[in-house]
Amino acid sequence: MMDPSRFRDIAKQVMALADGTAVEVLLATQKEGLTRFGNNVVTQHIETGNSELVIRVLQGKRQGKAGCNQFDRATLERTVRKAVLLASIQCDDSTLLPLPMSQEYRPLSHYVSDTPLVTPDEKIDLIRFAVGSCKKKKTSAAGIFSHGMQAVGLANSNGLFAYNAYTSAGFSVTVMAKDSSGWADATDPDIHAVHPEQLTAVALEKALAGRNPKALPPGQYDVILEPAAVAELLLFMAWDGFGALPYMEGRSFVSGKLGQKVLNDRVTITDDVYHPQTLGLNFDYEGMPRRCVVLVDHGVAKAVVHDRKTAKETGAESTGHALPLPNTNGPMPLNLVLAAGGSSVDEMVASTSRGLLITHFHYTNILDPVPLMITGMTRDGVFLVEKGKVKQPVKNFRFTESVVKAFNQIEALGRETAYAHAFWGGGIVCPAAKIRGFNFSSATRF
Amino acid sequence: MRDLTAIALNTAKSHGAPYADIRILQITVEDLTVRNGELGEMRQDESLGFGVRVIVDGAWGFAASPSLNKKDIRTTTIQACRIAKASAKLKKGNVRLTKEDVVDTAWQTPLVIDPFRVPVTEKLDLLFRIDEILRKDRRIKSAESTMGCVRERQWLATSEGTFIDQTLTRTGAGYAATAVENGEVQKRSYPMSFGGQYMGMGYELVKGLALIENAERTRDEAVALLTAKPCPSGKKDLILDGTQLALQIHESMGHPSELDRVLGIEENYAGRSFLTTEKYGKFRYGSDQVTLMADSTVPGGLATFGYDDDGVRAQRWPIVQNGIFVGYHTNREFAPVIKQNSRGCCRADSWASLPMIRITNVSLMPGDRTPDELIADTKDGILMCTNKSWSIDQMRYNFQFGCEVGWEIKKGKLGAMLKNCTYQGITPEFWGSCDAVCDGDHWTLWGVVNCGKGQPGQTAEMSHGAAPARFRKVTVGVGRK
Ligand SMILES: [Zn+2]
Repeated sequence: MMDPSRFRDIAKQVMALADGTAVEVLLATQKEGLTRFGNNVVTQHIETGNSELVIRVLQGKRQGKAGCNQFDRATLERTVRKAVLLASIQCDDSTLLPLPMSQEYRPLSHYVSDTPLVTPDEKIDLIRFAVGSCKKKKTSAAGIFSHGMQAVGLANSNGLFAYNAYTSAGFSVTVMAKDSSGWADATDPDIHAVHPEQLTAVALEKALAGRNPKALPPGQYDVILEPAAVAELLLFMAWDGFGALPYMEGRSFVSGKLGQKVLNDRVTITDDVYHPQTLGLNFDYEGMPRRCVVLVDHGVAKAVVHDRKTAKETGAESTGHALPLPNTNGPMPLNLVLAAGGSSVDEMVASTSRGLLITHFHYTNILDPVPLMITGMTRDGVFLVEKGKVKQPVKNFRFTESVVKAFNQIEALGRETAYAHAFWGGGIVCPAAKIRGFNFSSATRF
Repeated sequence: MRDLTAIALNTAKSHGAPYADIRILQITVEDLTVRNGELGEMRQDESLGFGVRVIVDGAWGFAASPSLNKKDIRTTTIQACRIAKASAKLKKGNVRLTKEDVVDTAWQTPLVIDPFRVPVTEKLDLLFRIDEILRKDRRIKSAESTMGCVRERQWLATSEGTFIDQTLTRTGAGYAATAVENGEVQKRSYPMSFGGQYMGMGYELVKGLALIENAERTRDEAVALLTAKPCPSGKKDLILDGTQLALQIHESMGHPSELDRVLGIEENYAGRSFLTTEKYGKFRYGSDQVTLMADSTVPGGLATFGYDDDGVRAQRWPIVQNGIFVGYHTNREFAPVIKQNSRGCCRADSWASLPMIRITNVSLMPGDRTPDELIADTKDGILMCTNKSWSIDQMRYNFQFGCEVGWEIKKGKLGAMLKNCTYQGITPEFWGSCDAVCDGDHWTLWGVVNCGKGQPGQTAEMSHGAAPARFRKVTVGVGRK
């Protein structure tokens, strides 16, 4: 883990070595401990750390970039030389922007100093206590307990300097019974806010409730999705919908539709790194301040996120959502928040005549970007709801459904939001949701 | 390097570790992408570090650091021992490794042209030329051409006396054109999707890919897809090209045969496998036509190496023999479960990662048909090519794939182009419906460079060889708009 003052020193050295050339220095530094368990015992247990530097130089309308993870003078010299050489052999790129000037950032700290300090022994004791309850019920627990810190620093030869760090602790557990499973997961900057025992109890209860699942035919069902399942749908909106590049190229569901009603009235989506339940940085990979952006307001498409380049091309302002430059994705929202509604999962169940209650989804993937047609499997607990009551566990389904259609058929959103990961990662803040007529295209054997 | 590896091994021994290994790894990466006439990605990165793995009190510990000096090797090793001791408080039995040969040797990927010695200007020039061809139609809104190479030099030393100096090189290139009109988005890639074709070889691969020669056709197919008929829904005979079969093999045979996954180690993230150990040696996985071989010795494979990260030699063995499931991917830790020595499948994606069981090069062995014959004797079918989307359930039964393009087959003749092609099946039923595989003249080893597994996630590379094959009465056209 490299602290801001050491980063400042190294950035200065790099700028001196670049000798008057415009230069940007990007640091990514991290430290992580992760304990994996399976079949109620520890299976893997690691501690690692690394710091990586990426040096981008600009010579007029040309850029070059090179990276390293050693910071002795010889390595820094070699890396700067490589970046300069790469810049010198490029053709002029008329759209390349000069480096930004120094910026002011809204304070943000998702950093809790206790989180990185947990010892291997303390983690094992917490896991042992949690899986003890599973052993007693003749079930088997598998999962992870992780903790660490990450920081990103960005400095450039125009005097811009940014550095932000956050901590993260995570516990995720799957409990397996003979023909069923349950799952629970939590991530928080504060390790004391992550409770392995409680999470394991939730997963265990689900696994036990899911025993003897019955097979139902695929088809359309009303669904009540827990937050992790909702996050899975939102991730594809973030990747394929709310970035300026797919928007500009006609590949997004909001292309040509800003100001128009695109989703159900109940849906308000922002990208907000300052939300207390999310994790992230208060600047982007150009060093621009990350703004909170309202993307959809009560169903009306309001905006997409920008970096400096897409902003310039469309006459907008950067919203501070650049990825490391150059890149092929354009800007991307990394901290989606779906605003809470006024319901609870119990109320959603009570209002459902026939439907399915779903814990989360597995291995989702996109089939068609504009309707956001995606597929994936249900996982770790699917329950039939009839006449307002949870009736019966059922076997897993594959869904093939348009996220745009599904978000137009939302009937209720939960009062509480959670920070949830999708299968492909990312972290999204969202509530549970009740959606009418969700399409399950096939069944599986368990 | 031996003086540095000795520090880790001696420190581990004095801290109660009967087994220890250290991998020192130097990784050099170059990635270049041109997108719509501009530089889309440029990476020339190097990474150096080491990871120490120990067994203390019968449990594993692992710690890694980028600081390759005597003091940090010592402290990192002590930390690994401390982690192992803590882990030993929650174990069932002691970790026991298979007994394997001790070796002191070196190995490297055979190369004709070192990709790192080819000037970047030459590489960029090729990518910009492709980009220009792809963008010659105004409906192409995104053209991406990519080239990459990686070199990993690793020194592995174990407390048993093994020392291996191994250098692996991977090279590849490819491109994709995305056509957009009135809310319709269609993509074609060459030679395969998600970055192109990669192999364990040098720049000679790129020279042989006929990249320029195929750019116009790729662009025109992307544009033609905008107005193509949608894939029909129902049951059809399905012919898959080699690039799509590569991913079908990967997801429905590669992952389910990883023994750690079978044993529940991956349960919380990627899931388990239906190929449980009581099925070993007897389960009918596919038709008689289906023989799948794992091979980490095949020339050009992305998972071709001399030795794995357990120090076990590369091997070739059957996974499915004429339809019967007969082989697992194993490492030294889990092979004893099936009473065997390790198959040498233990790999880590960097010095900071813990080695674990990874798929090697698993290939569908060629049959005796030609693609023309297959089409000629298909009455009502679809030919689907190039993967676009993939998904499979947590036991590896229910899969659904999307392909970039399809063509109708009616009464033995190729007909209209089809867009939004999808097919879905249950793994053993699907492979059971395979009634023909094309011959060795139509067989290619295709690379997968984005295989994710583990927590924290690791990315591995491997190749899957396949010739086109036919599957009878498959569900196609799932979830049409
Ligand atoms: Zn994979």
